[in-house]
Amino acid sequence: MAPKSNFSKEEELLLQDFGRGLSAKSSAIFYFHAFIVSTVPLYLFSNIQQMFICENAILFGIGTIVSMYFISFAYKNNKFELKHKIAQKRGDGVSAEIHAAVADMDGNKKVSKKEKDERILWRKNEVAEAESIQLAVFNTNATFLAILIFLAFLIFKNYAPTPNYAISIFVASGLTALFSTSSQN
Amino acid sequence: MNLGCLIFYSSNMKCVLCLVALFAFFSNAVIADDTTAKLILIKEVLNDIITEGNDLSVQYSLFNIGDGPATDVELADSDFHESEFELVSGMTSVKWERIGANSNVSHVVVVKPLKASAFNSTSAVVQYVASEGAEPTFGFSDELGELSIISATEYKRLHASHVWEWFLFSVFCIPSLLLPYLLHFTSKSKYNALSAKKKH
Repeated sequence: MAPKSNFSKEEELLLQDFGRGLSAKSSAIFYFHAFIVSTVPLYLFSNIQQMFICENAILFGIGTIVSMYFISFAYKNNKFELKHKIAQKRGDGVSAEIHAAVADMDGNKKVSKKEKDERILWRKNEVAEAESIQLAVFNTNATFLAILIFLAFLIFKNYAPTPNYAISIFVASGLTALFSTSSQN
Repeated sequence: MNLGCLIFYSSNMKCVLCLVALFAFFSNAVIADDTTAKLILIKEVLNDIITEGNDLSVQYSLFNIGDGPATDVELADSDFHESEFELVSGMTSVKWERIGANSNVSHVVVVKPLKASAFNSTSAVVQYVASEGAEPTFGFSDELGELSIISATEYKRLHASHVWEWFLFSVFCIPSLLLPYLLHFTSKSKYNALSAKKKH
């Protein structure tokens, strides 16, 4: 028999909203973006470094999978850090939006202050969730691509293509994940 | 007495000097009739980078630094075998009837390397008749040593401009960079505007 959770329903909702856990939708978005950003550099390596995809399929496959893992990890960390900051900034705007929405509703139905506050809290969480996902994706992708291009086409430019790709992709994705673990208080 | 000796020696010296001058004049006159040619052959590669499948230009320059014309001049270079090079223009064996004294000629051969590998370039040979009735004289050009022929793939990797590739890469990055930022920026602008409106 599975042990029951020690948290109440409200606490579980709070954990879901403010914890590090991701919803299925957020996970899908993150893995999709991680796949895209991990495969886009293959175009550069195949056309500039002349690494043919068929000949290097195994290396590219391993590099893409490892890169996706690290970048997804970075997405989650960045999103968690950004969500709290964004939620604080959007407080006024969201409450203005909710007040306007309530005022537009049918005048007979009065909305209590408690319900308004709950709506504001819920909406603020929703907006912060969406914006933090988008901004985390942008920041992580920009960091990863900048480090990768710097390593592959400046530092290791004259290396043989195979070690160039291996080192660049692993170091770029690793550093991106590492930078995401820093917390700015 | 000293003065007398001095006068005697100076007149003797003058005679000796006159004899030396006459001898030099006549010896030059004798040598002026015996003119010979002397050819210097310089072989040089005009390309900075030698690539498989791209034209390779080799220039042969013949300088006649002798006093007389060189006749029946034949230049031959056996470096470019058919199995490794395709002849595009020029000839690897060339003849000139006459190269005058203090003049020069040049010839360019264009070949296309068929393989990417290290290539050992040896000397070209020139045969000519230095003076009338003389036996043929042979000369050799400088050796270029080992030349590196890089593959077309390596050439593209190192020397092509790749402008188009970078442009396409920036287009491919739009879904990963531009779209997420635009979505975030749109939402941020909307709520900043609502917040500013509320404050007023």
